[in-house]
Amino acid sequence: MNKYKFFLLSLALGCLGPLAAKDYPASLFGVKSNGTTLNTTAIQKGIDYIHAQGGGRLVFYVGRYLTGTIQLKSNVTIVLNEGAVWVGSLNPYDYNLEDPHSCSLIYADGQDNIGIIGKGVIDGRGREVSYNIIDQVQKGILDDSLKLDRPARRRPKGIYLYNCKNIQIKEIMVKNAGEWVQFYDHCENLAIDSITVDSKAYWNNDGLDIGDCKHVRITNCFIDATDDGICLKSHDRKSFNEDIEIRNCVIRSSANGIKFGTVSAGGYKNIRIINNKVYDTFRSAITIATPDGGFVEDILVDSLYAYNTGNAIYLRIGARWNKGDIGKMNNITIRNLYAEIPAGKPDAGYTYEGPVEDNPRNISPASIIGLEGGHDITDVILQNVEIVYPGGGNPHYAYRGLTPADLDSIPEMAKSYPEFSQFKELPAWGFYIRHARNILFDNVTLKALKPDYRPAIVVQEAENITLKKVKYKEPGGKKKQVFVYKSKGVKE
Amino acid sequence: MYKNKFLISVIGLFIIVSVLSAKDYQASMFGIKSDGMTLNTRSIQQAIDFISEQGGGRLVFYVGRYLTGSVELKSNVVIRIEEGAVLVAVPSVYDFKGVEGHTALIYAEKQQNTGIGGKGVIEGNGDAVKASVDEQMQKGYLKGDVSAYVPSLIYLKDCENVQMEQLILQHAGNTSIVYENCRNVSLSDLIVNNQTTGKKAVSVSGCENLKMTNCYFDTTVTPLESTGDSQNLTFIKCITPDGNPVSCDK
Repeated sequence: MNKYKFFLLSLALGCLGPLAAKDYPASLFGVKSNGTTLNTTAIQKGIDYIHAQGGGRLVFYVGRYLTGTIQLKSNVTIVLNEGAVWVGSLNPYDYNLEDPHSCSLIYADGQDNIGIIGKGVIDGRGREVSYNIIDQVQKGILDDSLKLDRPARRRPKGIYLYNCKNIQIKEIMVKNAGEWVQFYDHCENLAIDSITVDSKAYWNNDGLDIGDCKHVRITNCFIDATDDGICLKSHDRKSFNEDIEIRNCVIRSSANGIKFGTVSAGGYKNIRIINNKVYDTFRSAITIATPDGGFVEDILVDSLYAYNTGNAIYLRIGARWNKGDIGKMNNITIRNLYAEIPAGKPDAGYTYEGPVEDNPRNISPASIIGLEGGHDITDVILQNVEIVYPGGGNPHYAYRGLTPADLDSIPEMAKSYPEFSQFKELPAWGFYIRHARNILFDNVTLKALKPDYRPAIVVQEAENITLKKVKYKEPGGKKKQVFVYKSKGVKE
Repeated sequence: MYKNKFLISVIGLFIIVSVLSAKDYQASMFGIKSDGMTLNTRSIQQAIDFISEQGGGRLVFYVGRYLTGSVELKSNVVIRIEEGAVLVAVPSVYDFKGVEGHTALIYAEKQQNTGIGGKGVIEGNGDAVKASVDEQMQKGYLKGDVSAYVPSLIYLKDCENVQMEQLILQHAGNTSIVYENCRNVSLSDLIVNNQTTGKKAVSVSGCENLKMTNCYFDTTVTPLESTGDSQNLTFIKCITPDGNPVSCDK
């Protein structure tokens, strides 16, 4: 009986497979590969037609396909074969400019069983589009604050999928959007595999954004971005991210390699970040921040290798757009992490380098910093961790001593945007821990290549901190490497 | 003496009032690009000229890298390089100009009520600029002393009421800041880093009422020099990386 059922199921699947995978070459719909014909309506007709037929694949072969905003629909997969390039129109009005939910080269809202696959390219040409938007603003046609001298609104994304299910993004190269190059928001069952991301065309060019999604697998991706590399966000106070795995990715960023936040209204649960590399990255290899009231729990970071990266680890609770709730962060395990921090600027020479800021400041330590008033970061394990610092902190350039006055003067900065450098000079060269509870360091090595005026670790206003098998390597005479202030239960 | 002080206060007040009421012009209004690749020299110059003709104001650079050759600062124009913004010298010798053979990224002659501020960076790109000079000398298109072609970051001659504040000035291929025959000038909260290029930070000659406050000079040579007759030079809390105070003792 069971065998019979299985047979029937196989038969059904066998019939469905070819139906679902029916291929429609783009030329069927009059789509041109010449790079100059604007194909927006023809491509959209192709998608609408395939969707109405019950599904299939819209296939692009080698060529350049100029287009504006395209809406993807259920049961349609876009296949970009090697050599096929979707080229974003330079005319801002070819995009859904006035609708933030669809201002993107390709978008979908509430669709099921969709995909973008193949070794082709999606090139948004976001810099030129953004310049053209600025031009329209300065001519008085579009209204924009031009905050920081860039359009605050209307910059098209590359891919924006909202409230979609069963999504496959595979092998493509995504590049050059006006802002985040791809954003998956409120999506479920999302598989992103073996894609290449080149997101250095303009400001706020994140590499891969996930917002309030469930069951996501991001594997074998290469990401090069001016803003955060892989970024988990939560814009929705009533939702959160759950069951997300980021595995075998290589990331380069002029902001953070892997980041939780900044917008973190709902939260994060059961996130696994395994066997990833970060290099030439301006800020932290991993930042987990909850400044907007969201919770963070059950996070595993295993086997993270960071080379030439401005900071290794930044864990932070803030109170920025939190509307009364203060974020929580607990049960974070970071193990098998190796990081090398340079003396110079790690992303020098990349397009849209990270901003030189929060100066004067010597090299910043890794940090775990909650908020005053009992908002501790709790239950953090750091196991088998090694961080190599340049050392050389000079007290005449920037100074934060260990007197009560010095340490008490470190501001809380609850409302500030969370970045590892926000406190300017911190009193430790290796690790700074404040407003944290139940923290275990097990087999942690902190190494400074040159003498630094600061101790390796400062623990301030924290409780139950265990430093087990922690090694300090700094040239020069022996010195006390751990300084404890206003804390309880610090065991060395 | 008191009269002099009063006069300075009045001038100071005037500067503060005029800066406060100055109109801000965003760099993008003039087509200036923050991408680190577009050479902005002419657009920045157009902006300075335009703002000066309008009676003055501030040209504001927000976060980004602004590649440029030499630009001439004009009266009543203040350049704001905000935190995260970097004015980057283009590594090409023929893009620099100056006054009487002294080239600089930003130069001015006989201008008043001007200045540069913000928490941003002026990046001299000294090694790359020098390499472009060397290359042209080897080919024989340039002759003489290499340093004559490598620009300072800032060169002011016969200027008055000029404020430099809060900037990071780095990797200058020549003395970072040169003031000649200037009056009533202040430099405050500057960080000068010429470790890689080995050049001086500030050179002053024939100046009157120059006040330098809270500056940090990271250079491999004596950071300051004073030549010619200068009067009333004040140095407060200006140090080198070893914490020692510096001044142009004469």
